[in-house]
Amino acid sequence: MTASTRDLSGAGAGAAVAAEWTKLTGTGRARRAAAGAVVLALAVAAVFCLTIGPTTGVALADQPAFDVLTASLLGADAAALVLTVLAAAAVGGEYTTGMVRTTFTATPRRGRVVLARAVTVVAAAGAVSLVAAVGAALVSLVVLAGAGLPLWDAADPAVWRAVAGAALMAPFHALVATAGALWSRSTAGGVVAALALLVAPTLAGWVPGGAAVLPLLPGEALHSLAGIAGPEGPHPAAAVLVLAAWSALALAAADRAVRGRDV
Amino acid sequence: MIAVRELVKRYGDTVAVDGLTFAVEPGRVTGFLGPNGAGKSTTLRMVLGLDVPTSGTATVDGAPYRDLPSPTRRVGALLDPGAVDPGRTAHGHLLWQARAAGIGRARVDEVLGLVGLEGRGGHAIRHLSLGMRQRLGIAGALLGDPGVLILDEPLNGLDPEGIVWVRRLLRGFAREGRTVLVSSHLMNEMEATADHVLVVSRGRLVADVGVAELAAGARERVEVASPDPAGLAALLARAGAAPSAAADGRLVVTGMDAARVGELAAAHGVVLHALVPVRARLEDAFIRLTGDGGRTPVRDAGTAGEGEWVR
Repeated sequence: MTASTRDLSGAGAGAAVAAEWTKLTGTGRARRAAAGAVVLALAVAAVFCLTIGPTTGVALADQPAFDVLTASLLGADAAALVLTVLAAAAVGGEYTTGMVRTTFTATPRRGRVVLARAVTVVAAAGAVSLVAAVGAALVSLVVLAGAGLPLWDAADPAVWRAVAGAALMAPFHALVATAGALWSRSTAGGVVAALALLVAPTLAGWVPGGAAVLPLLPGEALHSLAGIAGPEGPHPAAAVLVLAAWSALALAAADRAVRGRDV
Repeated sequence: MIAVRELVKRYGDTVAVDGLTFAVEPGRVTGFLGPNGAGKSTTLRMVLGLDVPTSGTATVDGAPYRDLPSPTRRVGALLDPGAVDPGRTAHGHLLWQARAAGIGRARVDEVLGLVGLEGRGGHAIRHLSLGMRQRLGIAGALLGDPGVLILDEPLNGLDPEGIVWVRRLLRGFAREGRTVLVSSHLMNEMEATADHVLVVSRGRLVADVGVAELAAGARERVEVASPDPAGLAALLARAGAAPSAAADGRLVVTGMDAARVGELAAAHGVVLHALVPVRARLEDAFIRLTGDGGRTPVRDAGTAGEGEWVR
């Protein structure tokens, strides 16, 4: 028998990441969705820049260029929502079709699958949303130039911090959505988990004393990293810790759920 | 080799698998037979580490599947050809599985060719016929060139040509000294495919026997038509046979061969209109083994057939 004489040493965690990457990004559907998210970001950026006068009560000509930039970056937030739903659907779809059994047959160490999926979804969502955020920023530049107004300074680190910070929203929420979908075995569960964190700051604002937990929520942390949290926002180092803690919590819950049950 | 020991799977009050113990040896095709709901798929899922046994163990080459360092290069499995993402291409579906096992892209094209899907790699799975999906699933099982092959109902959805192809493939695998376990709910599917059969009914093993032995053990019967069935029946019963009346008025006789029935009738001057020896089919043996042929869903761990061929 040839099979017993071959090298059968383990394929390793790198193989699991390669498999998940191929699975997540290797379809025409995924590539079209990524392109769609970027296009949506550009469109939303254009709408928010062009309507900034009516929506803020301050005419475009009287806006600081940096504020027009941050308005355009809402386009990256729109892309983040799309990518978050896609991340949840990628997992939920596997449970719907039953393909997850092939996944766990190919890589029976389930913790490895959870980790590999987390790595790939953060990388893919991060890459797409960075393109979306840079594109959105360029839209604000076009709008400002078109109106004959002064442009934001591309040499200003605050500009790129805002862009990079906006691009962080997608990978973080896509990660939470992935974990939620693994935990609940459904797309809906993943979307709900991500949305819950997204609206948590708003809910906290309604509850007496809720403001105290704001610094512990990912929303404020993301704003802090983007440099747009305001003076009372958390320190960026604390913000990194907060995001890391939420990510670890979500992954640990998913890992625990996935390991223990039949598929 | 696959070894299952005292394997039990309970879902609440339902016992799906009730203390199965068997070994699947290399070098032959082993059929895993039983009516739908007998616990075959549950057993295979436990062998593949997808479901956790309530108790007992299932190992492949001496270790649980989950602990094998490179599982898909040792064990190729197909549980459900429908459990795929229909939006993926055939090639894409195999490629991510290859990546998970550290197998190169060239092998993907190779197995597509092996299963007769060359030129279809770029097709979305949703555009493949049921038979082609079955072939794609088998291609996935072959990716790692495994020494152990586990296929759940691989003949489902295949056209006659496909069935012949799968049989050749399985027999070729076994000839190379590999271990082949193939489930089916149809005995006659396995007659021409398996060398050995494991028969389960209601989660229990009722036979672990060579196909040749099973055929030899199947009882023959004789159908007799006579204008005097009652007299003939009495005569045969006195001679030690077991006649029973069939719906069409004929007698069905077991425990006596056709020649002896004819001699007896002639000696006593009983007129015969027909005397037909009927060779028992494996199907009959299977239905007798599994009790009711699987028409009743599994509810409890009660009676599980006669067990006359259990070793």
